[in-house]
Amino acid sequence: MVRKKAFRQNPLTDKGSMYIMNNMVIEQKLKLSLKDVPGLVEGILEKMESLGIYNDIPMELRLAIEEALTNAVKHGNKLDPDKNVSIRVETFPGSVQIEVEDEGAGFDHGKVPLPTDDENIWKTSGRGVFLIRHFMDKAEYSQGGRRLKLCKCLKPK
Amino acid sequence: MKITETSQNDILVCQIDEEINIDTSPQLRKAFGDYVQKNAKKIVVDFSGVSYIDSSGIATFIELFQRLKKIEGKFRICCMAPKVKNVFEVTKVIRLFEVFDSRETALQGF
Repeated sequence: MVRKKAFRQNPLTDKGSMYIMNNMVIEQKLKLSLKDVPGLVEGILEKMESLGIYNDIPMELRLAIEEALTNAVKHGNKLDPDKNVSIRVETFPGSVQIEVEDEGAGFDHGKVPLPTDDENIWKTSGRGVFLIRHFMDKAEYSQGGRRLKLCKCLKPK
Repeated sequence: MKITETSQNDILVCQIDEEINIDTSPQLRKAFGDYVQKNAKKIVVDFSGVSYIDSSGIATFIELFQRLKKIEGKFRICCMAPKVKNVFEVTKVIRLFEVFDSRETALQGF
């Protein structure tokens, strides 16, 4: 996949990144605003691409990570600039695992209305969790809804 | 947000050359709000330059539909890349909008 570089501000630092053989672990705790999300995800995907271990990194992965981070900032941390979002990305030869955790009050992920239902289709919000679950191979909430663990199988080179 | 606006008779054609994400969708929302304020009742939104859209982007189009409905206006979408169209299809919102393969067909009979 050829991604258009947007040269966004990237809050990701090398501190908290570890490279072992052709795999990497990124672990960071950041005070994120919504504006930071696309740049952060672009930085993560660039690091994944630079490993050279995946045939293609699909748009759906980017979408799911951005939705997860947006939800953490907007709904989890309620846009509180003093609250952190923790992100952990670990690559494996045929997959990637991402964990996102906010410092909010949590929520009941089992009660998220289905945005594709007729009574919800015209709503201007509520599609993030649905898109995450649709595009990822695994999406598990824990810690009262504050932590989201995602897994996506990717074709190795 | 890079948007190019042109007019074809009474139709406003708006070409977006930017990703529609959580950072850029507020600007798109404002642009759409301006069109409605100026009483644009027929809008074709050309997606030729759109390589990515997220849920906030989808929301801007639902809002545009609702705002235009209040002034008896409507819009059409054209030239969606398959990956972008997929997001509309997966969320089932594609059935809410008129979607065309090309700008020419979107302008016909509008």
